[in-house]
This record gives sequence, structure tokens and C-alpha cells, in this order.
Amino acid sequence: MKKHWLIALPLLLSFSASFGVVPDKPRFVYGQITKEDLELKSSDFPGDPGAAYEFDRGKSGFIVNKQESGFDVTFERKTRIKIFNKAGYDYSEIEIPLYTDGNSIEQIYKLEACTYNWENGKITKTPLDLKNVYEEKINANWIDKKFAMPNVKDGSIIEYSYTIISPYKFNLHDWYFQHRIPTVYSEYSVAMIPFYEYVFTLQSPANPDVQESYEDRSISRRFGTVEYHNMIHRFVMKDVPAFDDEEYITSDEDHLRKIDFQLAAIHFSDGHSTEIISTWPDLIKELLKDHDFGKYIKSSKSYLKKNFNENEIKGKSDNEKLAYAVDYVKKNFSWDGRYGKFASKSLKEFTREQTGNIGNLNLFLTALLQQMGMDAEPVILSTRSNGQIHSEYPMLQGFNYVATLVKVGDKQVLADASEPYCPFDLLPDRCLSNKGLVVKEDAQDWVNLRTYMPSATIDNIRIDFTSDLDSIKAKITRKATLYDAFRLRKTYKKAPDNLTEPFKEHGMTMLGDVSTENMDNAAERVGMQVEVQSPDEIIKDRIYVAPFLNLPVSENPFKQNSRTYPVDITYAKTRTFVATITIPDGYTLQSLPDEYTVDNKRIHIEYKGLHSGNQVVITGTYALKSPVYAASDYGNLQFYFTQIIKRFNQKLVFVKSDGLTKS
Amino acid sequence: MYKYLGILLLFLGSPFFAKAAVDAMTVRYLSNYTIEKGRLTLEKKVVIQINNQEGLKYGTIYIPYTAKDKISKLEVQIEKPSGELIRKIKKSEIQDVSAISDFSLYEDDYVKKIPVRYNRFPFRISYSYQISYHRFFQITDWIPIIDTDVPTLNAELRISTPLHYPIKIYRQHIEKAKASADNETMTYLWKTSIPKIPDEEVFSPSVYSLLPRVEVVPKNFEYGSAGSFSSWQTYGKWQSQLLEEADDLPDSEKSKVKQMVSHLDSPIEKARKIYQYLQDNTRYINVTLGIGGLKPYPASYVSTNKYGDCKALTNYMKALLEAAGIQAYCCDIYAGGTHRPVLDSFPSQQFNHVVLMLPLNQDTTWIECTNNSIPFGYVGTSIQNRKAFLIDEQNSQLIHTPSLSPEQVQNRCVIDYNVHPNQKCEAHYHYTFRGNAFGLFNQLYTSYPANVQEDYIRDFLPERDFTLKSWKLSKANREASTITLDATLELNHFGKMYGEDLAISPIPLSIPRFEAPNERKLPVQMSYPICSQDSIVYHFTQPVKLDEIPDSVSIHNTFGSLEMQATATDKQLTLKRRFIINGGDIDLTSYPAFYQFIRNIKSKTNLTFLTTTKL
Repeated sequence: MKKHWLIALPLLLSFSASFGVVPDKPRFVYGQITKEDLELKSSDFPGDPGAAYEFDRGKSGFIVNKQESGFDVTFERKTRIKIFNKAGYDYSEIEIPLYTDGNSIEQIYKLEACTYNWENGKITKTPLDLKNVYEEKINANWIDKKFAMPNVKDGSIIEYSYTIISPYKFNLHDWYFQHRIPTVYSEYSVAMIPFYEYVFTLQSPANPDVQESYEDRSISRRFGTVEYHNMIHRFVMKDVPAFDDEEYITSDEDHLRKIDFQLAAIHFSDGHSTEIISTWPDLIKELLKDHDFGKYIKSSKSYLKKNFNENEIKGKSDNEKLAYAVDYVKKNFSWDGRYGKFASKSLKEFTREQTGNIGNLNLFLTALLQQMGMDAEPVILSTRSNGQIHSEYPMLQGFNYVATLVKVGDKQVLADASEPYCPFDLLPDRCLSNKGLVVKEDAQDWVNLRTYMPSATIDNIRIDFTSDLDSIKAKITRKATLYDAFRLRKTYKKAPDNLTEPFKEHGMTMLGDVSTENMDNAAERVGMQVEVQSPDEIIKDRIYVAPFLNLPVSENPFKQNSRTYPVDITYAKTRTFVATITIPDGYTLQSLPDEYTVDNKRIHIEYKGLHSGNQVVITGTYALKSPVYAASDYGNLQFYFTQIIKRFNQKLVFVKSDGLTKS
Repeated sequence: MYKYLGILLLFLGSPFFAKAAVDAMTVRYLSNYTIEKGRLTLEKKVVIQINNQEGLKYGTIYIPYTAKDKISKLEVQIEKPSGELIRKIKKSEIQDVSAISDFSLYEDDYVKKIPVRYNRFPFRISYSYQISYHRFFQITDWIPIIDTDVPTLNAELRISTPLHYPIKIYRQHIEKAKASADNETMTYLWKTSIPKIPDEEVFSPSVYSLLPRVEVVPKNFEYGSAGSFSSWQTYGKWQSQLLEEADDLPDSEKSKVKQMVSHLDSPIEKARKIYQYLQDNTRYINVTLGIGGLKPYPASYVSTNKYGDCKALTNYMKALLEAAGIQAYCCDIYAGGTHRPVLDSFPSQQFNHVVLMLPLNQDTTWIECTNNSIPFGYVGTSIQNRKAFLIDEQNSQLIHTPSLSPEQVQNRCVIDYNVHPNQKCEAHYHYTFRGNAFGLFNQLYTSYPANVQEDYIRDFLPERDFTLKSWKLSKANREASTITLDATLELNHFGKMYGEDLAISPIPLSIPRFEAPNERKLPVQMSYPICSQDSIVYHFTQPVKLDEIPDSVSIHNTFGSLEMQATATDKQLTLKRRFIINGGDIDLTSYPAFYQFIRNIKSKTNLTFLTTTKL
């Protein structure tokens, strides 16, 4: 099930690795185009890609900075891409992101690029004119250097190389071995010095083709009084397939083959050290001391002491208190759309402007709950699109969100105050990744963010025939819980008319208005009721009616022929239909449809009918019991959905009574 | 809250007003342009009322500017509906970012982005600023809305110019300006309000053509060089000046072109050869700097980099043709689906694209220089049947592009179903695409990787719950203006079981979902016809009995036509049909008849064949 293996080593301390290994010589040399390169074809790769990385080589290291006061990080990249056809032209537009904290900016050096073509029996070279390199300001922290390679056509080979020198030690370059096009050869090497210690996370379904660490004894270096050699760590992956976007995955970031670095410690030349990462309990301590985290909760509490009227919650149960608190924050503050585990504004600004990021809202919520005397702690997590957290290594950088964990009776509940239409005891679905860290002094608790509680939608359908029998009238009562309720509420809030869209799409005419229940009460399950009219089909004295009115799924959501990654459907789901049909006078039900039941760990399907007097009741329900399925379950899911589609959409046949002699 | 609006609705009686007014509305929209000492300054003040959570999406303010323009006096504040100040937005909340359209590699445009959030509804966002343009070409193209979903209650446009400063004005759905003058300045004032903005409908004109709009240009301007909007001729003359030094094709490339076509006699064959050379060696990349929105990069730039935007590539192609002794003209055009007809009487920059026109032997050939995979001279749906502005030193003029006929846009589809017992079925689709669909599939075929093609095709195929066994896109050669798609499908459950009978419903015609006449508010504007021809054959492996075969259908009227025949044996059912919607402009008076025609076609082609194996 677990697709990738992860390692993290304090790189400096791992002297045990292989010594003096001769780097394996890649068959590609920058600047030298061979016949082999020119003959490389799209069809040499699976899926006929538009382009491929022939090689992609990165090298990071450290140099003494200009002031000779310390080190800068260097990153050098040499890349060759073969462009096969127009589908690959995007890869001839290059973007190089540079970081700035507002003061100093990462500098780019030795940028060069060249396009090679085969023309009239010889190789031609068109170098990039640096005049055509532009700078785009993305936001306060990122600037993109951009250029389009000149003279690119089908079959071109492009090469580019550059060096970035950065004062930001925490920005030691991460490396992607995998791209959306195939990569023939990818190599990353890092030359470590004794002053900075990093841990790294390697994400890959298989070992790298080469992974080695050795001391580079060829050059002796000195900084201050310390003499040292570089430690080289080198990783090579060959023939890496294109990353193919599959549906139902959390984030590309959870699957791309890559290596991430995190600064762990700084060792000064005078012998003392600063730990950057240490242990989870220490990190939690740090967070609790942080001005925009622990201290923000403290100041929120003293603010609430003055401004929150305790009488409001007198006599309320824990659950009511929680509902009250979440509602209080939602009512008084709005979300500015930004994530963040830290509060982005001071409490003063936040209360004055009544808007803030996730940190502002949910740390404030935590404070409010604590102020109410409840057992509440912040939980830091990484959203689905941000990629999963690997709890093996105490690092904070992966976390981009904070929610609240609160004890309600003997239950632990996760809460969030950013989405007005989300139930108070439910995290917005963007938070449903693997796990979150409870930020509580002297503890190291992880909480599972996944919910196996299914979100359910239930349609109760009462069908009657019009007097001339050419159509049916149906009263549909829909109830939805959890995420289904959240979705329905959002649809309603966007425009109430939108609620009727799914019915109209299936050819139904609305009779009267929609009535709703609990659309404004996010604490309760949502309800809506519509009355519709829909033509039936009469052929040769027979009336055909789909008891669930074409509302069930009619297209298989699992379309791929094969599957590589786990199938992540975010949360467990249940869908139920109950149809009660009054048989028109003079007609009889031809036969009840076959019953169908499947029940296993993954899925539950039940379809059955009941006939009594002039009424037929057909019930269909299916449940996807798990939020995540193994890739190997894909075929089963596909098969079950074919069954669901077929059975839930079958029609009942009513025949004129006098024409029927069936027992 | 909603209940209250429900009542409001009853009184207003317009479904359009409902959701827009609920979320946000622009209370004031004031634009004040001043031309002084040859410089243009805009003072703008806008007040938006946000009524609820949903309305917050209109709470982000964007102020576009270019590197050399100067923005001053920018103030943004949150107010109560009474006007009482809640708070001022701080400088640190204003983001400054590059504004680069998604089709561009680079533009030197920037935007100030100010996300304003507040939590007590309703509240107002009031903002004002002054922008001093470092040069100008147009004074304004004023449509006083912030979004097509947000109505504007009060809008005002004021333009002050020195006395005797000639301007030209185009206005639509708005009263004439009140003009006043003092000793030094002339002032024009327009006021309007837009309490409701219509929704766009199927094949309706763009919403913008229905809104109050004022476009003002100076009669004479200085933009790069001096020019005038007096007539299309004068404007064209200015544009040709921009092209003057842009024809600097390197000698090496000139001789290459000459050599390339030396063996060809006719100019058309030469042009074709050169076009293919262009297609094979260049690509579309947009970089806009300074006046670059109007002035092309020179031919030498494209010659070196082998890329450029539409202007640069068109200019380069013109230079290549000239090297072979062929004269061609650049034509500005408004490319796209729903276009605003060119305003003949208001010479101005009304275009978004450039193509090349080749007047050969009385025949006119149109050349699209930004597409590497269409045949030479191919006129696609995005440039057909409209006016284009031909740039010729002294004789610039508007000319019309050719219109596509039903035959030129006809999509053909041949489907063979092999029907087995138990609802098992294989289907083979064979499509031949023309017109718009050709454009789409041709692009897909030439510019996207196989996995994207497959996903698109899977979604495109009009069946549900199937396994795509194989597929293939193919084109006879580069000069073909058709592309074919072959797809083999395994249908998981073909047709529907009605008891023991199998009911077969042929795939519906793909007809746009036109609104019923009582809902339709806007006329129809279709600039080209819709035409499809289908042949659907069901092969039964077990003999079947068919319930009923419908009679042939033949409908012809001014809106279009339908021809349909079904034939059957116990082994085979065949359905042939061809339908055309002629298109053109249909006003609201004719709409009910048109709608009736569409409905008629739909109901005539909505068939169900009931088959039974009990013979």
C-alpha cells in the first residue's frame, strides 16, 4: 500500500556511506550533441510524449559569501530537452523562480541556453539572446526569470544552464527527478560542508539507480580555523516515466519522485551549534512560545476575557458550547482566503479588521474554547493540495494550516471556523489529508484527519401518475449530511435556483417552488423538497418508469484502464434512493426487479423492491466505505459502478391488467 | 434574508435581477478624464456594496497600469452603507504584481491587487485613485460595470479637453453627452445606470453590446508617431508607418526564400510553399513591450528567434512573400466566436488579431500566421464572415472575409453498432470534422500529447459507461481541411431493457440548448451555420423484430433543414439524417418560429426503437 519509501539522514554524520566511488559517467555531455540525441524519437517512450528530458543535472553546494562572513548556497543546473513535436513546445519556455525576502534577492549567474537543430545535413546552433530574458514579479517573495528558446521546431534539442547564488540557507534546492514528460537521466548532487546540517526526504517508489555519499578529498578547504572537505551526496534516477495526472489523488506532490531538504542545524566554527529541528516536543514548545501562535492564543484569551460574555453559554452542553463558539467566530470574522499555521495579523489588527487567515481564525477559536473552559488544542496539518505530512521527521515546513481539536464529552472533535456553510464539527474537505499534529506542551500526539463517517444523501421519491397517464408527478425529499450537506448549502447560497438544476437537467419540469430546511443552520443536516413532473414512456399499452427518475449516477467515475496510485475519494460516501410508486388503476406491475446485494469491507450495495397492494417500493443504496482505496481495488470499484449504473437506472414496467395473466 | 429578496423579486418581475443584486452592486462608478498639455489623466472613484458572503468575490480590486504610467492618490476604505468609515486599507495590503495574460510569455503590464475582506454585511468598499498615462491613443472605452454579474446604480463619465481639441465619440445605449465650455476647457458629461445586466444566452450577442458604452478617441494623436482617427484611411496610414522599418528580413533569408520558390511558377504555389516554411519554422510566443501592443517586432527578430506574436509573425510572413515578389497586406481583425461588428463610422482600434491578405488573380487568399497546422488559405470560424481592416499606406479600408457555407462546416459521423445479446455491444465511430470542430480537433491532434487527446476524446464521445478500445485521429495531409476520428468502444450496457424488449435510442443530434421563447431575452447571432450528417447502423447478431419504423422526414424552411430516413431488416437497422441550422441574425420577433423549428427537429430525431428477439 505504501508507495514510497522515505529516508532522512543527518547528512553530515553519515560517514558510513560508500567511499571514493567514481561517479557514473552519463552518456550525455552538456554542449555535445550526438547522433543518438538527434535520433531520439517520441515513440521511444510510452505514451508518445511531446518532449523528454534527456538529462537534468543539478548540483548544490556552498561558497564563502562576498563579505567572507559566512556561506551562500549555490545551485547549478544543466538541462537538455528534446522537443519532438508541438505538444512539447511548452517545454521550450523556461521559467526560473528566484526568492526574495524583500531585502536581498537570489542572484542568477551564467545563464546560457541554446537550441540545436538538424538542418541540411548538419547541426545548427541558435543561442539565446539574453536581451530576450524577462523578469516577472509573481508576488512579494517570488520573481520569475522567463525566456522562450529561439528557433524551436519539431525535433529541436534545447539546452540551458544557470547558477543561482542564494543567501537563504533554508532554501537548499529541492530536486524533482520526475516531470510530466519522461526523463532519461536525472542527477542531483549536494556538496555539504560541516557548518550546516540538513535532513532530506526522498519520495520514490523505488531506490535511486545511484545513491552514494563520499568525502571529496581532492580539495582541502578552510573557513576561519576549521579545515574541512566537502561531503558529496549524489542521487541518480534513470528512465523515469512521465508523471501522468490521475483522477482521485490528493496532490501531485505526494507522488512525484523528488528529494526535499530541510535545514536541521548550524554548527559554528567556534564549536557551538544551533538546532533548527530537534524533536516534536521541542517544536511544539517553540510554537507555543511563538508570537503568532501560542502568544496569539494567550492574547486572544485576554481579549475574550474582556469582550466575551460568559453568560451566553451558561448551562450549555459541551456540544452546544462548541457549536456556539464556531458560530461566534464565523459570525464575527471572515476568512481572507489564505492558509497558514501562524496568525498573519496581530490580534489587534484581526479584531479591528474582522478578517484574517486560517491561523487568525482557528487559533482564536482555540482560545475561545479554552476560555469557555473546554479542553481545546490547536492541530497543525497540511492541506490535501499541499501534500501529506511525514511524521518521521520533526519539521514544520510542510504544515500550512491549523485547526482545533476539542474534547466534547468523551469524543475528540476537529473544528474549523473558516467556512460559514460547513457544519461546526467538521473540517472543510481541503483538510482531509493524512494526519495532524496536536500542539500541546510535553506531548506528541497525532490525530487522524480522515473521516470514515460517510457523507450521505438520501432521496425519498413519491411517484404518482397523472390522470391521462402520460407523465408522472414526483415529490422528492432530499436529505444530506456532512460534506454532502456542506455542498448542497454552498449550491443554495450561490443561487437558490441552482438547487433545481440537477432535476431540470434530467428533463423534469418543476411544479412550484423548492422548499428547504436548515440551509442557514450549519449544525443540522440539510433538507430540500421539490415537486416535479416528468414524461413517462408508454409503448404498446405498457408504461415504463425509472423509479429513481434518472437521478442515480449514469457515467462510471472510474474510467482508466489501469491504475498506479491509490484512489482517494476524500471521504466515505453513501447514496440512497427510496421510491414509492402508486400503480395506476387498471395496471399491474409486470415484475419486481432482481434484488442485488454486495457487502464487503470496501463497498455496500443493496437494491430491492417490495410490492404490496397498489404500491411498489424500490430501495437502492450504495456506500463507499473508505476515503482511500488501494490502486488494486480500482478494477473492483469500476465493476461495482457498472452494476450500480445498470441496476439503479432500470425501469419498472406496468402492464394493462386485462392483458396480464402472470401469477 | 432570502425571503425578503423573494418579495423584491415579485415586484421587479425579472429573474435576472435576482442573484446579481443579492450579492453585490456598484453604487457609484465615476470616471473623470482630463486632457491637459497633451497628457491624459484619469481620476476614478468606485463604491461597491457587498451584500453577503458570496459577494466577497467582487471585493478584490484590480488596477491595471503599465510600467511608465503613474498612479497616485490611491485610497481604499471600508464603509458602512451609510457612508460611515469602518477602516482604511493599509499600504501593506496592496499587492503589486505583473499582469501577464495567459497567452503571453511577457508583457510590461502590472496590476495593483487589493483584496478587501470584511465580515458584517452589507458593507461598502470605496476606492479612488488617479492615473497619469505616459501616452495615449484612446481616451476611453467606458463600460461602467465591474463584472457582468454586478449592476451599477450610478455611473458618470466626464471628459475635459482643451477648447478646440477635436475628439471622436461612439456611444451605445446612452444619451448624448451634456457638453459645456468655459474659457479654456470643454467638458462632456454622461450619466447612466445599469440596474440589470442581461445574462448571455445561447448564440446571443455579447452582453457588452447591450450595455451603455462610450468610446472616445482623440481625432489626432501622437503615439510613437503622429496619427489621426479622421478616417480609416488616416488610421491605416499611421499603422503602415509602424510597419515601415519592420520589413528588415536578413539578406540570407531573402535568398533562401527566392531559392525555395525558384522552381515554382504561379504566385499561389509560391505563397503556399512559403507558408509551409513559416509553419515549419516558427511558433507563436507573445511578448508585449511599450507600444508593442500595436507595433510588430521586426522581421529580423522573428528570423533570429523563430517566434513572435500575431503581428510579428504576420509582418514576417509579409516580408517573406515580398522577398519572392508577392505583395500581401496586413489586416486587423476581431477574431473569435461572438464578435462585435466593426463600427464602420468610428475608425479606431477595434481589433484583437492580425492576418495577411493576398490579392491573387481576383481571388483573395487569407493567411493565418499563428497556426502551424492549418492548410494554406484556410479561413476558420474565428475570422470568417466579418469585416477586417486592410492596412495599405494610402488606401487602407474595411473589407469582408468570406463566409463559411454549410458544406464547409459539416461534421459527418458514421456509427456501426454490433449488438449482441445481454445488452453487450461494440460500437465503431467514424467522424469527419470540418469548420469549428476541425479547428478544435486539429489543434488537439497537432499540439497535445496522446494522454490529453485520449481524455478529450473519451469525454467527447456521446456514449456513457463504455470502455474505449482504440482510437485514432488522422489527417490526409497538411493541406486537408478535414480531420477524422475513429474510435472503437465496448458499451457496458447498450440500450435499455424494457421488460424483455431492448429499446434503442439513437444518439441525439447535438443541437445547442436554445431558451424557450418566453425565457429568451436576446436575439440570435450565429455567424456561421451548423450542419451535421449522420449515418447510424445497428447490426444485430441475433435476428430481431422491430416494433415500428418511422416515416421519412423532410423539413426545409428559412431557418434550416432536416432530412431523415430509417430502414430495417431483421439483421440491420439504419438511420440516416442530415440537419442544418442556417444561422445568421434572428431577432426576437422571429425567435418563436425559429425555436419551433429547433423543437421540431429535436422531437423528430428523438426516436426509440423497440426490438424483440421473439420473432
